[in-house]
Amino acid sequence: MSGSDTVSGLIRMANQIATNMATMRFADEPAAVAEHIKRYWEPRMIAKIRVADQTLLTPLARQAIALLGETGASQAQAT
Amino acid sequence: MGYEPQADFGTPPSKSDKQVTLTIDGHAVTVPEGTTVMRAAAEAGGAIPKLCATDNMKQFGSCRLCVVEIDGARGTPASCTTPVAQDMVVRTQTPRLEKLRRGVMELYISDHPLDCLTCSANNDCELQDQAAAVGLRDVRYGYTGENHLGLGTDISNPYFDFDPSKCIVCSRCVRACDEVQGTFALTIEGRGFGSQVSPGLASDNFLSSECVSCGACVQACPTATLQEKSIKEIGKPERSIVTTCAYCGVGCAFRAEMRGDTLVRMVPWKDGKANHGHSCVKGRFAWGYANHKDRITKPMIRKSISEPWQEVSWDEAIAYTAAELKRISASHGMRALGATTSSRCTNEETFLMQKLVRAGFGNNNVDTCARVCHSPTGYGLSQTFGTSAGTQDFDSIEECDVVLIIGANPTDAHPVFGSRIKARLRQGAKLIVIDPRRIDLVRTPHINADYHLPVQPGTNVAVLTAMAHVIVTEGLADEAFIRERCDWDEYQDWAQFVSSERHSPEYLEAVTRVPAADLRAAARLYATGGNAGIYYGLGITEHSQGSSSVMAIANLAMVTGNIGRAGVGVNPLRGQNNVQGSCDMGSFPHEFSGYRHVSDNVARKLFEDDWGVRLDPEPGLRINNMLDAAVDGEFRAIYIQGEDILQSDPNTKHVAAGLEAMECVIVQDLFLNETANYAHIFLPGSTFLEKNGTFTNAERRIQPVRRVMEPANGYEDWQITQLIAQAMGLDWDYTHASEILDEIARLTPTFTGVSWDRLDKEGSLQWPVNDAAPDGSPIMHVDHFVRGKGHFVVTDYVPTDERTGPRFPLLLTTGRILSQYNVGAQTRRTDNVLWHDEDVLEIHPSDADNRGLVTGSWVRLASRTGDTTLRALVTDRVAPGVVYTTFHHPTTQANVVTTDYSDWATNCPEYKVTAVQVAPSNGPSEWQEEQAEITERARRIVTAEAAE
Repeated sequence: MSGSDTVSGLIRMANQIATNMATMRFADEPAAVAEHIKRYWEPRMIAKIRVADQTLLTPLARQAIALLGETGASQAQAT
Repeated sequence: MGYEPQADFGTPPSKSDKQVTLTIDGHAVTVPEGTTVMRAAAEAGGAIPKLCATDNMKQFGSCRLCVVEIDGARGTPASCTTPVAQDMVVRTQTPRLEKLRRGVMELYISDHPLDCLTCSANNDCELQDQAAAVGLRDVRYGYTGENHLGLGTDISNPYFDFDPSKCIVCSRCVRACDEVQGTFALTIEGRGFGSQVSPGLASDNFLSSECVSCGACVQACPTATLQEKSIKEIGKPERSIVTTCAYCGVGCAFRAEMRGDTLVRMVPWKDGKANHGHSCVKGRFAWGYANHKDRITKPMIRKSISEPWQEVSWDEAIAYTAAELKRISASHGMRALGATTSSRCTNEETFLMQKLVRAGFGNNNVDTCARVCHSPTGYGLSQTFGTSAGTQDFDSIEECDVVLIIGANPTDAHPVFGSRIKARLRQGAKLIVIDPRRIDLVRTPHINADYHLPVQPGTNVAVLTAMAHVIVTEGLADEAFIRERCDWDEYQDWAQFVSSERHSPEYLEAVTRVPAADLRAAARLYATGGNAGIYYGLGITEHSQGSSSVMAIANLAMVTGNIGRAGVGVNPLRGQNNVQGSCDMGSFPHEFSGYRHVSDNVARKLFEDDWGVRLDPEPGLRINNMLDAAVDGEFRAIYIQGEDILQSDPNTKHVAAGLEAMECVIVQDLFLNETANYAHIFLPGSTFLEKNGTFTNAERRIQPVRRVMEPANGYEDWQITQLIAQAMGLDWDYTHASEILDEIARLTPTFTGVSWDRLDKEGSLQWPVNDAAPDGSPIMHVDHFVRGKGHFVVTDYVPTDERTGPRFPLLLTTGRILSQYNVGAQTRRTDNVLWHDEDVLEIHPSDADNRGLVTGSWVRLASRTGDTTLRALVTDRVAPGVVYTTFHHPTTQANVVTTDYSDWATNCPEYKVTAVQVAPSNGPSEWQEEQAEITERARRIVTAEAAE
């Protein structure tokens, strides 16, 4: 698996989280998905998906990733 | 502790609250109503002679040795079958009774070899003891009459022998097999003098019979008729130490019976609260791996994985390990390091591993093998109930009226609890099984499942939501419970969701392949059949919707009010011995011990203050993320304790690529496992017999693990971790595992009241043990949920991305078999291989016919990920379109075939759903041949002596 494969995997994970959480009736779905990712993903993973091709994300996943802000990127640079 | 047999009160205790007082041999005795005279006498310190009675089985009244005199009663009743009565007057020793007993014993001994001095049971034989107790001095009949002394010994079982010449036909073995184990493999053949114990058909021996080698018959035998081979080989034990089994999540307590420093046998401890004196073939007998020739006891290093291993001293190994970790941290950043803890190791060992990562490596890159089994349980039960644990103790099954088993195979994977389920079912409890495969419990002696719903793999959420649909739309919800204990508004939302026609059994039948009528009936039974308990396993969690399934299960328990009392609840059956404990101990990258997130400032400060170091507030990498990052060059070193990720984790080729990409792979294990093929440092581990610590079983029971012999490798596993920490500059100085447990208790709210001393005194404790529950918590969520109100979560069915199609038309699901355990590292190195020496592929007759396969055919099992070869077993246990195999053998490498798909919330791999094709094959796949070569190369060792 190359770096691009890792990113593909992250996109698949984010889309899967969004698809499942979309069924769970959160009042603010993008915030719920973003919170889940922030709670369980290591910062470098967040940094990678933030700079990935966002068109590969479902609309809900895309909104959630946008909410994650610069946190992931800044953490990754700190390593 | 010296050697004493376990106390035997003759008959089981009575559970009555009413007390009865009687007089036995002139002494007043008060016992619960329903107690037998035999037990009452034993509890009062007396001992009525007995042979056919033993206190883990119902009274039998066969041997006539336990006769007593009772005022006002005719004759001499058997004390084992006579219940006490108020003011009853009993005499256990009179000249008349002595004469009767001697006469009975005389008959027994007249047909028994008089070889006591050379008998392996000498001085540990109830027959011998009772002959002495009744004062037998002579046998008037002589020994030349017709007898059984010439019968040959059945030595077919690898662990025990059956010598019928010593049998007194007391039926204890037959009853143990029936009542305790529930297999009904043994019987008494013939009549009168010709009566003999027989394993199944006359043509059978113990190995060929249906006997599952649980050892219950051996334990029950009062003579040397059924006896461990190890007693014959080593001799009678001299001492015993109580410890906890290191196999499955039942957590059976055993007496390790020792002669010198040699383990003679493991005997289930009757006071063990998880197993109540029962065992399975693994815990009872399969401990020989501890001294297997493959065991590595000296540390080894190598610069690259293409080189042979070089034995080195512990000093050199630890110094090299620390230097490598520091070098890589300095050159690639601290986030390039990580570790995995093991559910086979103790709480103390896993706690130290995560502490090393957080406090020593400076990150949160720690994960555990529970990632690939029960991580969805943690997520799902935390969301719905508020904590990551099963709600019941095992004893709860005794009050369960409806047993719902989904995605679990207890008689194979949790056999001792499986036997307790069977016992409850024989008492009349109802059974619902939801499983794509017809597990043994569906139809086994005296048990027929009321409903078996053969769910299509991957559709658990649809089935569970359809059950909820039936319960809500048919008015079977427990509204009073829900209003009191759950969030009512959330419930109404959820109820509206499940009431939709698209969640009806009829609508979903095409997806689930479960007949709608059966599903409706099963749902009604679950909701209305009395106390209903759900028991689930990896057939729930190891799916892309594993966490959703766990939440759907919790929804079912809440909507029917089946939570918070005995007989009900949600019970995850943990696969390995310390899955619960390894999760409790903070082995996941996002949380500390006690399930507190690393971003929780209060919790983090508690650890920072105690450990004297700043801790990372961001979650670390999960094991699959570590492997991805390794391939990307961002993760360079991993310390793996007690786990074989190459064999156990999905998509073996990706695991191998990740390991191969790392600069330093440290494996700490008993054997050079498959992962060690890619390791640079091998640190030999210690067995559970060689260490102190605690395991926490599936019912949250914390139990002591006690060192019964010196570690062959020189150190307990936690000591090795401490040596690495010290070499990296951490000031750890634990001198005993109990000191680590003290630290766990100090830092973990659910463990506040736990200590080594207390475990010594009380045997075990079920967390939470704290000010709110000072004696522990057998049942959780009694008055309120840990999170407050129970949380109904909408769980809609989302199909997995893994799809069948023309190239891969079948669905593969994986599991375990009774005689083997996990990746087989331990059990493959015991005689358990006699029952299972290779993984086989179960395939339905129609699928086999289509492919020209018969049982025994070599087949190629291929998925989009990879392929392997193994033999076929044609059986209708699996449904058409579904195939099944185990992952116990590295030569098969079943996980070459499984995919990267995983649970949406936790990344628990989707082992249970892989689209595959099966075709005839001539031999091993390229991957298998390649791995065989790698393994052979990777196991070259240059000994320290040779290097000098």
